[in-house]
Amino acid sequence: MMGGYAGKHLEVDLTDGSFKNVPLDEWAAKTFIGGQGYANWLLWKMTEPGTEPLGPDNLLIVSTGPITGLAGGTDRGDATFKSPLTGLWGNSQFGGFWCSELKFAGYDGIILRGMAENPVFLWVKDDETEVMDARHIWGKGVAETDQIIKEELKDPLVRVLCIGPAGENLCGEASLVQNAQHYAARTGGGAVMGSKNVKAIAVRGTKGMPPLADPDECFRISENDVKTKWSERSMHRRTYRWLKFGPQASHVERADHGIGIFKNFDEGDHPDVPSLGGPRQLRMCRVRDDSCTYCPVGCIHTSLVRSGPMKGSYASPKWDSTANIAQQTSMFDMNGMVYCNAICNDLGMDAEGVGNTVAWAMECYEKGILSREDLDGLDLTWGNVEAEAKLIWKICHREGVGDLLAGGFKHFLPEVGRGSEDFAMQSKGCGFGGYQPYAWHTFGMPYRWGVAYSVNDIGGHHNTASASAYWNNSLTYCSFATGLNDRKKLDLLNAATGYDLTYPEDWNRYGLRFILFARAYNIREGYGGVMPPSEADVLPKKAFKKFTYGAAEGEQMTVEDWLEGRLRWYKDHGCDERGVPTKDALRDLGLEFTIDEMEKAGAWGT
Amino acid sequence: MTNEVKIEILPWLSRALGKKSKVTLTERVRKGESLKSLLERIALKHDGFGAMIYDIERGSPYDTVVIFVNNQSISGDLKLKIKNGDRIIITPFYSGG
Repeated sequence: MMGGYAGKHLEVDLTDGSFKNVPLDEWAAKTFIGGQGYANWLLWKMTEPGTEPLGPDNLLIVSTGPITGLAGGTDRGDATFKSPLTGLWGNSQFGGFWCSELKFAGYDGIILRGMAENPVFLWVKDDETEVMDARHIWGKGVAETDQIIKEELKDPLVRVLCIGPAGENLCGEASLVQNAQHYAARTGGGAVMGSKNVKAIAVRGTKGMPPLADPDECFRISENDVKTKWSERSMHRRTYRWLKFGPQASHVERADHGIGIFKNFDEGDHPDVPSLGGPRQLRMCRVRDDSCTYCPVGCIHTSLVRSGPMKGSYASPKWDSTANIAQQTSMFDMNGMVYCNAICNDLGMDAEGVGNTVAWAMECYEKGILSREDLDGLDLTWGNVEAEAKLIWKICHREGVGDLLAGGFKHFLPEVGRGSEDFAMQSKGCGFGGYQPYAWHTFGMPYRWGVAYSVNDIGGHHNTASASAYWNNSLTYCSFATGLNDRKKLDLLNAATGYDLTYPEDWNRYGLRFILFARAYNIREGYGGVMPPSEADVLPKKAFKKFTYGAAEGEQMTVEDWLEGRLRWYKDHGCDERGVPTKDALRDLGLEFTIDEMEKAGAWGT
Repeated sequence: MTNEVKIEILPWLSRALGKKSKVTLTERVRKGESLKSLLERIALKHDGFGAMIYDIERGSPYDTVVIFVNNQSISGDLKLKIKNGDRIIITPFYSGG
């Protein structure tokens, strides 16, 4: 048995309420590591092509990795499923306390399949599993759900992963929520859980960390990780930034960089941006700081609206979520930002995704594509906090126009049309993150962000287009934790498991394998209905605009720039010019088992 | 033949040269000159460049700086030889999520 792994997943069939242990496949663990990588292998193996995202045959796989629970920044989990938002591989990560608790209960992950007749929640306490009635908490927000479950189970140390009303209402942007403040927000995992009538998964583990191959070395690396974070050298400043302001510092920084996302990506800079930044948040409304298990960085800064009509709203805003919900909609109001963030949080909605939808709707309203009547009487002007909050509420509850918008871009753009596709800032149905497409991706990737948005396997997200991101999500390791560089992360993995993977050779090879396996899954599923991939890996027209203001003045990513970058990404990642992995690349990476299914999907032509 | 390279310094690092938006420098390079030597030369010419982008004492860029040469990320490899027509992009490191 390899170290670090608990050695089994818990598979629950909600249709008949049965559960069984699925032993860890040692070949797959060595090949796909854990978290995102291993879960994708399970999804490939355990679902048929063409699975309905919200049907009983789809799986929701929530998993840990071999180093989960071992050091600061490793209490991370991965949610993998077929996405109702995009029709592609659905994937999102979350932090908090749940993942190490699951590991300590003796599981590497939980696989949900089927569909319960009535709302239930799952209760896992070490080796005991129970499917519990959740009819009394169905419809409640995530904070109340978390609290009720802890009270019912009479244990404040129970860790809860749940959905809010957005997930129950099968919204395409619904998220999974841990401890009411850590979100696996992207691509609609909450809707998949909601489709199975599962409100929550509560976990309590008392067994501790599974045996490690070399515990002394693991301890040494973890200790060094903490020292590095607080050293006088380079990381110190970044750690201090996270601790002092959190990702909220990015509002002013991004504007200074000229890559902010103001008014539905209209400009990259704005004079009023300091009203949203981390320093103002600190002075005005910050009430509590928090971290995930063991993490010495602590980037969670909870804010409270102290006065006015939104008084009492409480949220832990981060960068992408608040950029999309505030910068995007020209809302330069700190209280409004916290308020809208709090609504998304408690209803279990991806603030990043729904922010993109609201900003698009505002531009539609400005251009006369959507009228006030279309919007149920909302005066959806830029910066109108009340109208934005009401629209988010409607989307989460599928009320009126909210029902049209709840499915996500892929579902409502064909309905609305009239040129609104040109400024729908999304790719493959998933809204962009908080970076202008023209900006250079600086996470070691020599491409513009627009290239990353277009080729990303889950759609226009800012993560998951590089080997490093896939590695972090498979290990699982937080990209904010920053203490361990890639080589050290691999050292920690080797020490935990007994593997002998090398850097950079194996690191790069595995990274490419993770990327192409996700692409292979998407192709098997018909690439969201648009084949070949190069027809779907595209951007809206607005992504190519020329900027006119401030730090971004004169900047532009031309179509030619982007096409050149995308072709380079394809070539660098073993794909042909149509974005299809070559058979040679798949064989070289040990992914030959994907070729038949891809062939059937017409990957290389008929 | 004149050997020249273009160096694009993106915001906010462009403030090192007194501008809010992107600054493009055109620099002559000697045959076989390394990236390190080029960066040092610019830092000696522009105080702001030395203060915000390239640390002459340490002999390396500051940790918040990312450099691309012809669309390839340069991670500490300052020995790289610069040649006529190379496109160098200097950008701040972005992080957040």
